[in-house]
Amino acid sequence: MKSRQDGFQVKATAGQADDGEDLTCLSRIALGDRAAFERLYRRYYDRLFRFVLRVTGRMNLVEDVINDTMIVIWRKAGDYRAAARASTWIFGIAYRKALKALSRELRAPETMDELPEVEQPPSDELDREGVHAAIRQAVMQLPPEHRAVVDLTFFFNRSYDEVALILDCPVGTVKSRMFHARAKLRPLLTQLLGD
Amino acid sequence: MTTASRKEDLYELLPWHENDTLEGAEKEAVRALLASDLEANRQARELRVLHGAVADEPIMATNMTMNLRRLYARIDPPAPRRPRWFVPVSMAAAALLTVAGGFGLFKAGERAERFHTLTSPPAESLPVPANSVLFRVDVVAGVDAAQLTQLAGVAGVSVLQGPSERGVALIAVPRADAESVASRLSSDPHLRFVAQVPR
Repeated sequence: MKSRQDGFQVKATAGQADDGEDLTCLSRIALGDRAAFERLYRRYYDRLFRFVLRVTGRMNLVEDVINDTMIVIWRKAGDYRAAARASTWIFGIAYRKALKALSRELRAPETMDELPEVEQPPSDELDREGVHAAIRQAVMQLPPEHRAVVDLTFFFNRSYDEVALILDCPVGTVKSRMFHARAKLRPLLTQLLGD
Repeated sequence: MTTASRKEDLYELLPWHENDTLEGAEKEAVRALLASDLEANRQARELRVLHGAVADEPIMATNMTMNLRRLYARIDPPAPRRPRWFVPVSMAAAALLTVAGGFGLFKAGERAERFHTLTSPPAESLPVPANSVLFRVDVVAGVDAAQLTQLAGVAGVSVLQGPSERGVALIAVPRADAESVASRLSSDPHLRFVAQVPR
């Protein structure tokens, strides 16, 4: 587990270093540079794919949401102000597009109470991969807003300030969503840890 | 702030301690809590497992190149395809417009002013005396039909048409006097132009 944490730190540092490249791309995109746009698209595709899939929980929406996001970037790159990291701005657009696509797909928004309880397998039957799979399945049962907080924190290693910027909500809301997500996951985590 | 509520606040920060994005006083406070608080350590273990599970998920990205093509198709939508009937119908419409435009111009010209060339016959409706010769004449401004008749200098001359605003008139002269009248009018300073026209 330690080595994975180290890996996160390396990824996060690299991500910050890439911000300069993102800024260069955005400034060129604002001038209509297609090559810069394609470069940014390729740099973000995998990250956005994962993030949008996590927020929506629907594979069929992901590609369209990514393209919706990129079209906004193509048209509004000139509006970007470097008050926040470029990636924060891009993920914020993706988050709003993902929620919009999801609300179109679902007539009634999901709530935690309406979601089925996660079936918790006996911990002694699970290896590490099985444990991780069970946790990810439980995370997918959370509401999209809570999933986004969990994913931005634990996959994209964002600070709570950055999560708040991306989700366009107060820091207190971010902490509250994380609190509720953890409360929902706690029975499974407790069982898996054998506490 | 009570110690209990301070502790709760620090518990809320544990996820960001786990992803190592806390800084300064908050980071130090959480570290101090973890050094002494069993519940904080229990939560930290949970978060480490959650962190590992979320980060461990393989990314199932689809074909980026295909999706990029779709994106470009949205940015630059192709020109709409014209149906088969579009070309012949548009050509017919253009021809119709040309004919209608020409007809409109013709009618507008007719309304503006009737025009006769020197060789064109007078309108059939004009009362042309028998055994007379027709002349088209151009008079200077201010000469009216009565003066024109006087200028001809012989009896039996009649002004059939005009003078118009531009001074154009058509007169009928008895055939016997045609030559002398033409000669007189041609030399009169009130007339700028005299020519015989066919009946």
